[in-house]
Amino acid sequence: MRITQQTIFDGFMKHINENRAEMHDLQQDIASGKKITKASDDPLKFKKARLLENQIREQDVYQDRIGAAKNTLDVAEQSLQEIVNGLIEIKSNVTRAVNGTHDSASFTAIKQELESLKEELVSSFNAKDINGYIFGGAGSDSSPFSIDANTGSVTFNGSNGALSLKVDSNLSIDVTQDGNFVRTTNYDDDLASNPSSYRSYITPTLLDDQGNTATGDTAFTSLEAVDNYLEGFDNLELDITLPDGSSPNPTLMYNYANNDTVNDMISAFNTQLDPLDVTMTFENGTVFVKSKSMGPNGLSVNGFVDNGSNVFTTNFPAFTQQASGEVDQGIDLFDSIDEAIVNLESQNVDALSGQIDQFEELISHVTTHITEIGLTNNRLNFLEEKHENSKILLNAELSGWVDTDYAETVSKLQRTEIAFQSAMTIHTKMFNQSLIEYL
Amino acid sequence: MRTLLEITKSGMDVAQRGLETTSNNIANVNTEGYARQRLVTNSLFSRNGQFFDGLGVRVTDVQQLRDFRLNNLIYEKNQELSFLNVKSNTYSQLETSFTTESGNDLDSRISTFLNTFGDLAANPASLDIRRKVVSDAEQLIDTFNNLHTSISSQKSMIAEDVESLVGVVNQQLNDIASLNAQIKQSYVNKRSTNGLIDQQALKINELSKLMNLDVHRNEEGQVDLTIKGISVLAGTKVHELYLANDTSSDVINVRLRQGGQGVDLDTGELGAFIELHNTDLPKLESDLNDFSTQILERVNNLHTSGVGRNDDIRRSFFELDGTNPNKLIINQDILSDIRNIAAEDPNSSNASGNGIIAQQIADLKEVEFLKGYKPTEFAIQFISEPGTRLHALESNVELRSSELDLLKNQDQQVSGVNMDEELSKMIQYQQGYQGAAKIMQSAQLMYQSLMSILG
Repeated sequence: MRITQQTIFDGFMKHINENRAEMHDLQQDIASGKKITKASDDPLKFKKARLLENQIREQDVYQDRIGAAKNTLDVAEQSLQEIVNGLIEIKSNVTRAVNGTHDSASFTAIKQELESLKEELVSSFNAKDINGYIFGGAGSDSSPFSIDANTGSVTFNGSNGALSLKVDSNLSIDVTQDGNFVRTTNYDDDLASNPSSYRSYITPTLLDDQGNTATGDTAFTSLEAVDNYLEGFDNLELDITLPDGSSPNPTLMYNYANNDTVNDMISAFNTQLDPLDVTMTFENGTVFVKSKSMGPNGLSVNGFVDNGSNVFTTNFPAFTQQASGEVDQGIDLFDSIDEAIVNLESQNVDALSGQIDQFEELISHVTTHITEIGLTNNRLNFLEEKHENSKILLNAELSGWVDTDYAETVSKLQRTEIAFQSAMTIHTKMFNQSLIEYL
Repeated sequence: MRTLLEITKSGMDVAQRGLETTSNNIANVNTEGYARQRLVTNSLFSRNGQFFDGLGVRVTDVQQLRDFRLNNLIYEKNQELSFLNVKSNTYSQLETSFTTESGNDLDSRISTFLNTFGDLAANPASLDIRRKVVSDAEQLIDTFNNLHTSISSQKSMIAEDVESLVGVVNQQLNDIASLNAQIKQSYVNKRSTNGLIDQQALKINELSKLMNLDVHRNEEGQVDLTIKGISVLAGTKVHELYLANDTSSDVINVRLRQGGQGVDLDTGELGAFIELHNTDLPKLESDLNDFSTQILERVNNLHTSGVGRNDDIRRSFFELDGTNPNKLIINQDILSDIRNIAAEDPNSSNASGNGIIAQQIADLKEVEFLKGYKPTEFAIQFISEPGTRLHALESNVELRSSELDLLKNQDQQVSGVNMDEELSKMIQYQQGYQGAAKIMQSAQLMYQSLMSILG
């Protein structure tokens, strides 16, 4: 093989250039701290890294939102606590009025106290954080609760629903709420938005065989009235007529067994009523059947039927249709205060005394909301930790894909340097080897 | 006696010619395209009775050492390598505008834009978030526009490059044609064509980097050139090329100037440029357009089903720029009043002020968008495309260039000048010359002895 000077020179240049290019790459890796900065470095790793970066960005977004949500919930919790404190004070004032000296001066003083507490409560209901009014529902531009200057009644000007924040890929939490849920113990927002199309059927109060108002836990057999009527039968049918005049198929049937409670019956019927968008509830000793589609020409409830197809129309448990929108909303906070103020004005001690339980119930109702916020907060803390952990894992994975392994790179660089220097030395020597030296 | 002097003289002549050739080789040791030359000699004799008497030596040829078959292989590799080089250069340029080290590329822009809508869902009244929605949308649009510009400016640069390269090709073809003419003349006049062949080989080598080229050489040393069977040079007749720019379909073609026959170039620099311009870049452009169209349609579908804070008018969020069908712009109504961004679903049972539409727009990030990819995933695929291509090309370039190096080494073995070899030849010819001179000296002494006898 003929080796010319050109061959040696070309080979030398080629290898030296390759060497230099490699040293350049390694230096870049070390200087930037990244071995993959562009897709051509390694397309698969690059894409993987970008996907990971996107996931990390998502975690950051969720974490930011959790932070914001927690702030909002803190404000909400604080306001609810203020409301509870206000209610406690109102209750103790009312109690004082009931047990006190019953002179008009103290009634007037307590009445004024209640009026000022009412205003404080309204301001607590109008609590606001950077995102807006917490009890304003799904967005409210102005204070959601206001006191009518003439009548003194408190009205809600916010909107139904709530604003929710996505804090995880499949979890949204409400950061605002419809203040009516706090204000009223048994609020139904569906009813509030469709009052005219909403009706309910209600039974009289059920009594157990002791003559007490039945609760959900009352055993079915001790329900005096039902037991009397159903003696000898083992099931109970609910007869309703659908808006088109037909009856549901199959019929709504509850097979009762000994030791079943009222709640068992309610849940058995609810399973069958759910597809019809009808709900049955048991509140304060009465059975409610309510539905949005119970408008004037809508669904109607005819009553319970024994298995002899006899509708119980007399005595109990006959249903009566309530007027449009007339669904029990439970106790209203501001209405109760207004009522107490009226009772203080008229110095009606008996009525006031009856209200103490009302306030007690309101306090426990608002406290439930505080507990719920606590639970949500726990959930958020858990999620925050989860996001933080997955961020750490994702970052570690990302680093594995794209970051320079310094030990490896530096040792590679040293190896390349040695190769470069040797090539230089050897080639310089070879170039000097020529016949010219000997002539 | 006379013969002796003649023989000696021919020996000195040859040695001198040999030294000339060697010195020419050494002088051209670094000349590109130079093929080493060797003296071809022949001994002279006459018949004398039954003996052949030697009459000295003569130079029959100064031969050029060149392997034309090897040259053709080099031309082929040149075509492949420069094709790959042009492509990888272009993709490398595109890559720098598609992905940046900061990471603020299409993928992060689209996810930021959609996430901000998620924030708006939780706080539709916030003007700060609404402002951020607009600025994120503007950044997204800027990114789209920059990507568009980088592709289309590549296309127009390529069109210019092709134009000037076609000019270079025509120039080279004319140069080779005139070399052909000179070679023919020298051949007829029995002069050496070595220098001309060197120049011709150099030109063909340059030309082979530009396009498909088949070389047909005749015994006189002239070459005919064809591209996929279409003659572009026959003897001294050149068929020039020109760039046909089909503006309606945005496609460029190279055609013969006479007759307009299309020349399908698919390798070399020109082949690479044409493929990039007519196939590769339009593909990237259409992917980008599909992507921005999807964004426009999907965001607008949701946005037009919602309402802003001021009124019940249904508005689109993005619109197409009237002057440029591929350019997105933000609805002017939104730019002039950010309260017109629709976050609220007016048909929801949740009353006014809800953020349902904003959430639905934010949820687009989980929707399979194009080819089964979610928006961010598609963006990542898209911005990685030039790098992916480049990565594949780089290993090919390496392979082809080492093949070319191997062929060039082989060519050097045949045609390259080896300094040691030439120097030893120099010593050889020098000694030949000295030997002949010595004999000349003896012959002169012989003459002098003879003359002195006579004298």
